Amino acid sequence: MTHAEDFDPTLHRYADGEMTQDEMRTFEARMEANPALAARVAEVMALNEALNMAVPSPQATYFAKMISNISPDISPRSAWPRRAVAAVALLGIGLALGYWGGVTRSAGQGGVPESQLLASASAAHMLYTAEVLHPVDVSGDERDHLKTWLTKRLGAEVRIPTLTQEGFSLVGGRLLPAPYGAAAQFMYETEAGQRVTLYLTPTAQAAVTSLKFNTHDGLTAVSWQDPHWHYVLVGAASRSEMEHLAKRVHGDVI
Amino acid sequence: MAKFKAELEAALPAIWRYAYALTRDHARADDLVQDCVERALNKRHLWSADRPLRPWLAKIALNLFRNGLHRDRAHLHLAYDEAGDTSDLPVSETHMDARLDARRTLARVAQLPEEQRHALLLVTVGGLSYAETAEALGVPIGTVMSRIARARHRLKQDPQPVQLRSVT
Repeated sequence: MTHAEDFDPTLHRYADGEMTQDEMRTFEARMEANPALAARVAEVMALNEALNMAVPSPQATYFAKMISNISPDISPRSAWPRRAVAAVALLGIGLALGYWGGVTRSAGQGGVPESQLLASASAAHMLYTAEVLHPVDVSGDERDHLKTWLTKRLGAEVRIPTLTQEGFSLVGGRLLPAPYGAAAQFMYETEAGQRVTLYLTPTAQAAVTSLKFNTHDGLTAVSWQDPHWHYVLVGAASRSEMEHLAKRVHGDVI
Repeated sequence: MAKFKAELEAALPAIWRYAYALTRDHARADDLVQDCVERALNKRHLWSADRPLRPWLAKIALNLFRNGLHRDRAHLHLAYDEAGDTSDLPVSETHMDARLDARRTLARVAQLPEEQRHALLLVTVGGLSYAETAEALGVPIGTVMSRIARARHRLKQDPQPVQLRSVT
């Protein structure tokens, strides 16, 4: 059974109201001559209708009220319960990413198990990227302070990569516990709020590894070591986008 | 600021419907849209007045959803949603069956690959044009069309009721 009409772009443009009057007339003539096409259009339109029926449509006044209830920069709304919910959920994802990291770990690599690093990094990512009010301890505006502080706390010189060319600005950073010792997390975001985090922790066992990718539930973690730091870059982006960012970070920190 | 708020208000119904389709819960859709409004108000200096607001807001909503929190809640609540909870729908006896079917269809959309789901929902539920959807997702219009075609094809191929998934 073929589904040629399923992938006919004009069918979708018709059903989604993307056509001009002329295009619609032409398409309707085609439908009259092609019952399979007409049947598929009916199916697609029924699907659209079902989706719209499943979603309520609040009145405009509802949104006017919502906007007036929100003042910029002030939002004490339920910060703690949300954190708690995130904390429960992130355990699953952190463990899942860590599990894959464990499976794909190359033999003979000493130091901290990669699965633990991935689990810690992705758990921290899930916890803090969801924060609207306090995503970081030290803001990106205080870059020098952030660098000095974390260098002191981690006992090795910390470099903060710049990703502005990729459209990501530094939100800031924080100190975190690591499987053995401490780690730093830097958060970056695009203008539209897409967030990625870089987790790094120093290691006494020097090694240089290639980039490793782990994906779970829309979250991608890229990890590598070079030479005295473990890095894990985490984000909800495609593998190629994450690879590009990781290479940029990699180039920036050495 | 007044102009921005007026445009924001005009754009929000579409964004709310998209948020609802993603979270399948009235309160969580509210949360997501409120976060979206907060962010838009805080970052409005980054928005240029000659650009349409809806794709930008849709992109913010998508990122907030991906950033974890709203998505996690959707997972935590999945078991209830798919058990046929219709408490937030207006109950009308004659339309009950149709609404239950509609609800199941929406639950099946949640099982689509992410990129297909967002393209389909922005266009059908959010009412965004292909061009607006392309801008929100940061992909060419042709990609939007092919994602929508694949989503609809997959929904046709897989009409059986969704299985309950683990709530982790």
